[in-house]
Amino acid sequence: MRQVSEQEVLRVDGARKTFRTPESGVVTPLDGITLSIRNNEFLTLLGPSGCGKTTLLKTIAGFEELDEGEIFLEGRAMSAVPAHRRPFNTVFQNYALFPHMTVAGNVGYGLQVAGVKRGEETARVTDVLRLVGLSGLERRKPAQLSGGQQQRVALARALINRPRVLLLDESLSALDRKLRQSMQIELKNLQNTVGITFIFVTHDQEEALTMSDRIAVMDKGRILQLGTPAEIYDTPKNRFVAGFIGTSNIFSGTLAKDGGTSRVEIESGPAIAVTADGFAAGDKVDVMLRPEHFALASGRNGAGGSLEAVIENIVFVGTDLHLHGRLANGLPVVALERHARGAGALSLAPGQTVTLHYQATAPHLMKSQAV
Amino acid sequence: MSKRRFSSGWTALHIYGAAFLIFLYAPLALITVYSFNSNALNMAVWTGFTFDWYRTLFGMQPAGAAFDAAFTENPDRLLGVLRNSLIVALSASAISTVIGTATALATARYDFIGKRIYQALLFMPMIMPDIVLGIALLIFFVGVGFKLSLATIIIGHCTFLSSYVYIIVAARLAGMDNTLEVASADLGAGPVTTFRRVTLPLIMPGVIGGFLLAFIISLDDVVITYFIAGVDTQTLPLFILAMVRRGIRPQINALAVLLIMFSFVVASAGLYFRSRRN
Repeated sequence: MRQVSEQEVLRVDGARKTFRTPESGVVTPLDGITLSIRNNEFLTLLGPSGCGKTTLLKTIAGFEELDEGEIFLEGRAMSAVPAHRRPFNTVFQNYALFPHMTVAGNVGYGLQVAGVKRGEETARVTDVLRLVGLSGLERRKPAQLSGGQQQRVALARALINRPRVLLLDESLSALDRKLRQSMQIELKNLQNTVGITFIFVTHDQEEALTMSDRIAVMDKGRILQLGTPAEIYDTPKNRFVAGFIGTSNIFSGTLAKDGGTSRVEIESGPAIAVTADGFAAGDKVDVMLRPEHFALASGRNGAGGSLEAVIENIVFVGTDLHLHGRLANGLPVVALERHARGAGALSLAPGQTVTLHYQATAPHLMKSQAV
Repeated sequence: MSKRRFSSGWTALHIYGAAFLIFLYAPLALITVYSFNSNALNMAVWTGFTFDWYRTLFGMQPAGAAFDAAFTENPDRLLGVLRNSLIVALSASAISTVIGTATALATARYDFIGKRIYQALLFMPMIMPDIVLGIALLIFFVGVGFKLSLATIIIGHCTFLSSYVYIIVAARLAGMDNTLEVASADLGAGPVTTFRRVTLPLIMPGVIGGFLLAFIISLDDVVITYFIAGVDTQTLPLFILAMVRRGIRPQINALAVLLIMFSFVVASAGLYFRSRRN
């Protein structure tokens, strides 16, 4: 079993890169990024397109140079090392399989280039193809494979070289949803088997939550938050992170403290009872409540609060019901109700006013972002 | 579909297509027929089937009785100019293939100042009238004191053949995913290995197609070659031109048919490689 250690394998130090494009002027895909990647971890770089995540991956791989900063592999500076001498391998977004070579030729390419003996190459190709579940397809050409199979060839081709770090660039996004979900699990299992550090780039928050040991949420060339999926989900640092990961209700307001209790007063709206450690009265804050924090039945213990909302829409997604409603001041709110509890029993219908209860520990406070 | 096949427009299109092909190929068919006509004096009058003109081309004795020695060309001389033509075509297309391919790689993979102008200039030798290029080359060679010879023909041909190769290889490169080269580097291959194992195999159909096209163009070039060939060096097209000046002899038909067949084979091979997809 894989052990994630605290030991650092790769370090990005003050990475900065700008370039000029004819369309949008000066772009800064990397605006001072410092990141420490631990041995054997599955780290995901998550962000919207254009946030710099792919550029960061490319500079680690050595396909692009940094303007400033340095990348260290176990303390060794990498900037003078060309891509083909770096012990990293990449799984490309479009797989970039060599169309004129067979599956075995593609997978064995790295070994051939490294001068590995023919016999050993064949044995290792067989092994790694078994690992990714492609035994028997050695003689096929990439064009004769399905998207999922091509993906596995790309993975096998990268893994066979036993890289210190495996870089995955939006590697699952070309697959259909069902295949993507099974590949997520497989990729995670594979990483447990091979014990290689994975850096995975995606814009898909679900993918990030499913697979990662840690997630770095990026926007505009910066890392906004780095943490475990649970940390990112439960305690996002700001509105952007909260909005990017999962569904959330975010209200802006001012923190008010009254004796032992605190609340966030939303402009021309209700107040939300919060626990406000580390914030002072009068602070401008954003408060986040996840849909699953709401319950239609009042709380098991009294501490907490509630919001009145008018239901506008009920969306049935199988396991859950999503209740889309509006507060009295017109702000939208989403609540989640387990299907098992039964909407029918509660006879919910659009137009109805409901009370959404939450526990005092549920609301998460974030420093308001200067707009 | 079946309705459309019987419409008058569709019929007209068929007739037009047939007429077009006849217009293109009738002269070639005619010359082929003439090359087997035993009538040595008037080829438009059919007197019988013969291989004599092919035989005499290769210095063999004609089988037919009605044979005038004045109509034969010296076969040694013919083989000599054929040799010249092949030397020129092979060397010029080989050199042009290297230059054209390297140029295509440079413009496809790198950005440099003046790239657009450079690319536009690459088309110039093809757009420029041959006669201008021929005179320009002649003046250049004489100006720098280059003695006109096979070498000047080869150099002259390279100037415009490189453009043809460039265009064909550049088209092939444009269709190639350049992350494949990045992937090769990622897997540990240096630039030379990447070129040898990934880039070259993938553009090979274009390179071979470019080579064959250049070969055919070089082989039948008259205008430019006419200016830059020395007095004592002759290529096959110049030789034929000289023969025709003294009257159309039956051997010319036979030679023409051989050239048609040869060009057809090479050009088909070129088109095949050019269009081949992996």
